[in-house]
Amino acid sequence: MVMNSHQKWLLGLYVSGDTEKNRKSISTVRQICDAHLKGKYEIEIIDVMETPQKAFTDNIIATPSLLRKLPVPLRKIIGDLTDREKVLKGLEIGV
Amino acid sequence: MAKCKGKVDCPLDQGEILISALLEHIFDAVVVVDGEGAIRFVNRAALKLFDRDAEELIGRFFGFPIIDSKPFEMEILRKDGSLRYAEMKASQVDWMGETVYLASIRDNTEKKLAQDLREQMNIHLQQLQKIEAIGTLAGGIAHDFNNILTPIIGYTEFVIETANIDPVITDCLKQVLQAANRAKELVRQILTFSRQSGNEFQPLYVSPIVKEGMKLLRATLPATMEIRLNIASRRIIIGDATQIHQILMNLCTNAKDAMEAAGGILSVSLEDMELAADFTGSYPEIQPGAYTRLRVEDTGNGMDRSIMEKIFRPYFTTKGGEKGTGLGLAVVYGIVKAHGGIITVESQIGKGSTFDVYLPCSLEEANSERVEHKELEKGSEHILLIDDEPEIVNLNRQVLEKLGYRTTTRTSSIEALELFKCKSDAFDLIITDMTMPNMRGDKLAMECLSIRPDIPIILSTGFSEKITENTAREIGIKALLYKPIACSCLAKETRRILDENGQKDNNA
Repeated sequence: MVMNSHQKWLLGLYVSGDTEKNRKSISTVRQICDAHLKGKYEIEIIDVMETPQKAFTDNIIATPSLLRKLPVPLRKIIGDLTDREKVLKGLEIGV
Repeated sequence: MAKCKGKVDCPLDQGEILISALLEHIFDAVVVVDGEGAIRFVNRAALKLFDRDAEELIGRFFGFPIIDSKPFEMEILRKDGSLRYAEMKASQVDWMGETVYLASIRDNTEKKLAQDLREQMNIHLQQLQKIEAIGTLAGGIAHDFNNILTPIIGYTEFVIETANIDPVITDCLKQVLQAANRAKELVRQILTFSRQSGNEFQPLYVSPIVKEGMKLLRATLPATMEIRLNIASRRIIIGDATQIHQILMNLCTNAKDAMEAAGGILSVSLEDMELAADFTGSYPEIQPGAYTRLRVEDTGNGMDRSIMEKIFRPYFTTKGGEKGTGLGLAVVYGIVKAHGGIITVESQIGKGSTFDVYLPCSLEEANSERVEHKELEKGSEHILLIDDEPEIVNLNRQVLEKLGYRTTTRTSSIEALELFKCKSDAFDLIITDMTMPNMRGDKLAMECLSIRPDIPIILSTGFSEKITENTAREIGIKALLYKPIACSCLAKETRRILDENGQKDNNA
């Protein structure tokens, strides 16, 4: 499950609106990245209500979605992103 | 009919065809996603929820729904950019020998919108209740204030009118009286503002309303904000003074909030102008003619076009926390419309905003109170005075006795009623306060009138909402006097009511 340890991770987190739930999801994902991918990741937060075009371009039809663009293959998870274990498993980040 | 697409053409046996048919009729959306995150199956409810055809969904990369025992709140993005609010529960199942993800999604949009509306209405209700509480508090404070002002105004007037004193001292006392009358007017303004008023449209000058409103506002603005005033209007509109006051308050409060961080200049101007067809043509609600324009300008944050388009919508606000109800400008818009006018806004980010309210003018004469100074009218009738405040009942006694009347005073409404029961024919007039312990003035009036229906009664009240002129008339009260009562007013109304009653007797 663990990718090449030097591999750069490129993530896209898609949410709808500035809500408490979404803020918590963003915080959880950032904490996971800081803990497991420190210095090796870039994350883009996209609010689909502000930039709906980006959602369509990136093929997003449900939020919240967390998209792993790199490393390949493309992997996307949809659901409760405040659950650390499930996010780690969903992104296939080794623990 | 649900579509299916597998790694090979998926041959469905009879059981699977039956299950597919059943899934078509399920209320919730069902989406099956394979091990690569691609959609393999959608039912009819899913097509409706996503607002897409089966061909647009089957084979599309959806992603892996997170497996959880509890449903999770999510949003669905439709083709037209709109959102549906849903909750999803996902599990892993065996699908023809392959492990797939089965997501059951319920559309909760209507429920969520209803809940949001309920929350908005609760917030609105809480705000209204706060305002009502403030109004009640203001009414209570004003009542006490009026009781304090009554002897100040009353005795000062009494001394000016009756004492033989140095003209220099008289001038000083007149200054005291002027200041006390200003305080009285301020209390009346606060009560008018805090009291619910109906749509009592009448001819009025806007200038004094704006001047008084700015006096109130000045006290609430920080030192970092400069106020510039230009009140040049001399025209009359047909309107409600309280509502015009509210327009000013709401616009100035918004301007103040826009400049809170860095201070600035608040400019308020009131000017008369003629609007020509080239201007009114853009606003179908108004016609060319004479208008008064109220302009409220700030040098605050400013707004972009997308915000400006929404500012008059109810519940829209850019203010966080307890500051913004989103109703201020919606209320202003409603009031302006009710007055037959329009409101426009211009704004620039970083430069500030300008709100212009155009109100159509009238040719009618406005009511203006003129104080005519003339000698106080005298009399000799017997008056029963009732007020629970000893200073006020003593003041009224002294004023009326100086004018020749005989008086009997009581500071208890119960004692006054007992006295009246024994000697109702002894009195020619009752002057009673409204707010008293044990028995209010209106109740006392009703009791006295039941004993002697022709006894004229004057009720003095602190401009509270407990009694209106109509209600007083229905009870049989002849006049309502608002505290603090000037000596001249007390003398004038006493004489008027006695004369009217005396005239009735003469005609009987």
